[in-house]
Amino acid sequence: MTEPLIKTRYQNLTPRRIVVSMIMNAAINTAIALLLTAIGFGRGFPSNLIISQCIGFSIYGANMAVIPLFRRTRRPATQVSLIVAAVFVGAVTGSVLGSLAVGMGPAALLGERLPLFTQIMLLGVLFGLLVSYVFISLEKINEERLQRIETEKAAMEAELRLVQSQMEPHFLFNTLANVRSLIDADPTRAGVMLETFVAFLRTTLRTGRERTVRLSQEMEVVKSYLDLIVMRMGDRLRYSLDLPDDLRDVQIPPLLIQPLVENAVKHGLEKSLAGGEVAVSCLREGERVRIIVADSGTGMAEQGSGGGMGLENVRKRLGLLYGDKGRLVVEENRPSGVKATVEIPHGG
Amino acid sequence: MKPIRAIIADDEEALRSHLRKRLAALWPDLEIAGEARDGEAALALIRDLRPDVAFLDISMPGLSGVDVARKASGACLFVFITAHDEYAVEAFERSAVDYLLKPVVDERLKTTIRRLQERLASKSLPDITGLLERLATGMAKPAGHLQWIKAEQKDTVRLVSVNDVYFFRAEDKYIIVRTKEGELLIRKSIKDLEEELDPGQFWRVHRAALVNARLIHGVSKSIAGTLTIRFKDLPDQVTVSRAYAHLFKQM
Repeated sequence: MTEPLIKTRYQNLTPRRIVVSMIMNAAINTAIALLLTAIGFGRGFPSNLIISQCIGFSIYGANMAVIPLFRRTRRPATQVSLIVAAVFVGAVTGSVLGSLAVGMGPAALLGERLPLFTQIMLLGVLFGLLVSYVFISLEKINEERLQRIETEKAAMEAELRLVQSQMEPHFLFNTLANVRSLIDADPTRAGVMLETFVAFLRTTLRTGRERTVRLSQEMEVVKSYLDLIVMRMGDRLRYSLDLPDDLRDVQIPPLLIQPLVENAVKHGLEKSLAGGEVAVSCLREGERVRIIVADSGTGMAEQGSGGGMGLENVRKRLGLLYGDKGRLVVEENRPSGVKATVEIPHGG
Repeated sequence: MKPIRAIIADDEEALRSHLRKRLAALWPDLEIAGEARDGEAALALIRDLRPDVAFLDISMPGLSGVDVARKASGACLFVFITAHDEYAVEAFERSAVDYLLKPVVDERLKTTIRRLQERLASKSLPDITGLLERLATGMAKPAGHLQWIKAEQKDTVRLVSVNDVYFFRAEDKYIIVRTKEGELLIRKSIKDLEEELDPGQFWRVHRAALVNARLIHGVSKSIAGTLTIRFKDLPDQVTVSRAYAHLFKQM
């Protein structure tokens, strides 16, 4: 798919922008007239200035005329053709108007003044294309900057939401309530739980600062999260983690896997009387790394709200970080539950 | 005098034992007649043991604490326990039932005990039907629009978030679900699908097409007046039929 030459061009054509662009146009026309006079072209500055302004504003007008067409197309070739055509039409019209304005009659233009008139037109086309090129380039740089800011903003928002979702009050207070109850009953276990909780919080809060972590680090987070849940749910939850040695150092964005595990626990297992199992496995397939989170819970309801926010966040981040090379596939597990697979390129 | 009896229901063992111990310390006369780890078991305990008070965790597997109270309404006094005040806890404040936030704090538990004792002395069970109704509707969350599409792909069933769907297009007996990654199939009529989706997000633009308004990049009009919808990062386009052109009048 080809990228359009310009996407935002003319889209916010406010009166203020029109006035500014007209002043700039007049300034550029004057500069061109000064330049041509300096190299001894034409019949002196006053006539050069008049002709130059006529050509400049004709091209400007022709460009404005093609705006509606511009908005309709996305093909770069079409966009270029539109600009070239507008410059040609503008330059010819402007040359005629300008020459008439400085007192060259129609007969003279086609007769003795024809060589000069042709030169004027060619110069008009030349400068017109040059100025258009500069402006489009500037516009494009501006557009790319805007796009980069957009992407960065989206990435930051996704990270913020991620950290917020980890600080989910239900999880926080339930864990603290457990620690509180264990302090009297089983101080040693209370200590272990508190330490696990602290480790989990620390890694979660670090997310905002680190771009990538090793897969082994992420699996530690997953393990501390699951340990906390097991302490709460007891024998209703079983889990297994499988990380081959050669994948330990693969770099991944932090908290990419944990939300998938949390989703499995929250939507599949916590609500189920019988509980079940979560299995996280990592494997390499050629140039891709696959991380699979499978649970044997109740599965996800099609309807309802609140569910799957974690999954959507993961998908969004994959898109921002890897484009088309990263993806999340969610499917039904057999005989029950959900299987979520993250696929990322090996070596970032 | 007959002792006052209570049951405790919470799916987390540590939380049950903690509450049991604190109650033993702060209300020695109270007898804990039974404990349950899920809603069904709590309901059975209430029916079998006929306790005076039931301490119910709101989020339990199976039946929630609110469900249990609804089914056993009038059988005893209820105290709800919750980790987070998402269920409009202030609703409890004005009513006769009480609630506890986790972790349970002694000072708050004392207030609950005092309220329970007053209630039990007056021998009147408060009518909490209205409150339970409100709680239940609050928990059910706004009536669910379709969030996940279960679609077949080869021999697996994929779960696709509706937010990732650009558009649905009806074709013969099934509907094509277009996502960034490709097309999936579901067997359903477009009319049924339209009713299940959030009407604010998915717009019917054609007899056979529903588009995700959030992913529309632009709408262009041909010389003949036909409207065509373009999407972000997708080559596909969807034509708007005349009957639905009014949706884009403003644009």
